Amino acid sequence: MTGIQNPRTGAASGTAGGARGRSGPAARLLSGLPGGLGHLAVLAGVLVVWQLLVEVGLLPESIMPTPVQIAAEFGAALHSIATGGYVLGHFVTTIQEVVVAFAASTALGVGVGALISEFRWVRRYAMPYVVAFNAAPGVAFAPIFLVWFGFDMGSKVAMGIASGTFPILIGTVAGMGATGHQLERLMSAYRATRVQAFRKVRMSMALPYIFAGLETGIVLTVTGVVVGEFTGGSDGLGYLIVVAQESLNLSQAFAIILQLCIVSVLFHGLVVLVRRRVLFWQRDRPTRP
Amino acid sequence: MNATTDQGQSRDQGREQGGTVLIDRVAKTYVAHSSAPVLALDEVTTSIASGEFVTLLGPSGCGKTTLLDVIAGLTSPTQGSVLVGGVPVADAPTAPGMVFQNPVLLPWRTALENVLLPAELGPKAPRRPDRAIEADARELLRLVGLGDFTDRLPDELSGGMQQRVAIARALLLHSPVLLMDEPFSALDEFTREQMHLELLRIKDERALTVLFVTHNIFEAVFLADRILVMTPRPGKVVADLTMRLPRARSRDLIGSEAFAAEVRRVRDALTTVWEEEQR
Repeated sequence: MTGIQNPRTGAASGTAGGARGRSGPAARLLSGLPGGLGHLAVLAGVLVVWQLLVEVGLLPESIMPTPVQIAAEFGAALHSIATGGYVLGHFVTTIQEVVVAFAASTALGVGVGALISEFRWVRRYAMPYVVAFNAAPGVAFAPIFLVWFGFDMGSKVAMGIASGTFPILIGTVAGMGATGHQLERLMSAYRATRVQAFRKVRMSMALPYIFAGLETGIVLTVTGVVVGEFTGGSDGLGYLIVVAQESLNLSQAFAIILQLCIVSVLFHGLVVLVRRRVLFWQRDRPTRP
Repeated sequence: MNATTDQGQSRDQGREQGGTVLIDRVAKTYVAHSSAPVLALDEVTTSIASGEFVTLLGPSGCGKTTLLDVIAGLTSPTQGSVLVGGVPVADAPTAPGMVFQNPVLLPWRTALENVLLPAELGPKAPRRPDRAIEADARELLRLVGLGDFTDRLPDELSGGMQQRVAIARALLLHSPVLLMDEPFSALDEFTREQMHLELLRIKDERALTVLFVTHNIFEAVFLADRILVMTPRPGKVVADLTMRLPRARSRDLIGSEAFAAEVRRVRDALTTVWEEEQR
């Protein structure tokens, strides 16, 4: 792509005030709080009620650990990660699998998506299988991948790819078709070759759609990897959940879910960050396919 | 600096013949799988002199855009031929400049980069346009009144300014013929009026032949040396009216009796056809 400078500096943040609309007394009480305090107050309220429900005995502790127990387990896990303990290896494995799977998903999704949109015959013969593959529940492939790719990272990465590729592919196909009739007319009026039209216009026009696919894809990749870890092997955060479940240590299971949640959110945030850099012309608008 | 002006002058001389458009019995039939073939354009014949401003006026569906696309070489006629500057448009050294209803700018390119786009397209185009073309593009942006906005993104420009960028882009390849498809119909009334005057100024400065599609009678009369009135089903030219107005147009003209008379004449040409169709 041509070297384009001036990324928007200091773009104003989008919606600041939060939702207005109908507001009862509780909503008014919360909206009186500055910044994120309202959110914190709601979260704290939920946690306190949860804690009380278990302590009073309305929820049996064996089924539902308290927030305090989960926090303790989470703290222990963080300590273990920070000090190079038992959890660290599993944590790193999962991260590695997600990174490899997502990179492959992106290459595969964008590549096949571009082929499908550029060549009519590819679309005709490949699209039905793409749709069929997506319609099949991805989880169902986990045992087969175990046979094909073994108990190590291979099968987990394969699950990640199987889960994360489709939204990226669909985003690419949708984006490549988003150039618009007038722009197509302009390109042919100036006798643009197919390669020029692809490089200079269609690819960039598709980027907002591709990023929308990537944002969905990264989250699904994490899901796929964890399912892969459930299915077999003895490594990764998904495996730790299975171990915790087998020893009925639910607070530990919750603590790991919390870690996965954070990993997923961070990866997603990374994608959003890259999107903002790449789609500098879209200011702080969300993707607008 | 001098070198550029010399170049410009020789180009203007080349334009003398280069700006003619000969349309000879052009017809276009669209064949659809599911329905009967549609005759979009029926035997249009006319010749446009170099430096002439011709508007194609008519209701939607009358084949104005089809005719423009045929002249631009975007679609080939089912019958007949079009010569631009004496050669079939496909063999012309530069494609005619085109301006559409929407500016269709690339949102990630600055005004200058958008104007440069045509220089990067085509089988023989260089990967990056050279310095001389970039200087041309800057000059064109000055010509359309955007000399101070070269590095702005389209998003930072108003609708009228974006359309000015599109006009500058259409002029980059020095084609003597400018084809415009309802270019100002998306603009507000005030901006449109201003753009009319700007367009006439640019046309004079660059000695352009302009073909301008519109469905607005006032716009057609104000801008044109000659109006081709078109009617639909099938699209054809039903009247060829040379405007009895001074070439130099100004805002004052709009209120004048002569202007009103020409508007009436064009309207009459349209209604006559209308009434015939009713019968």
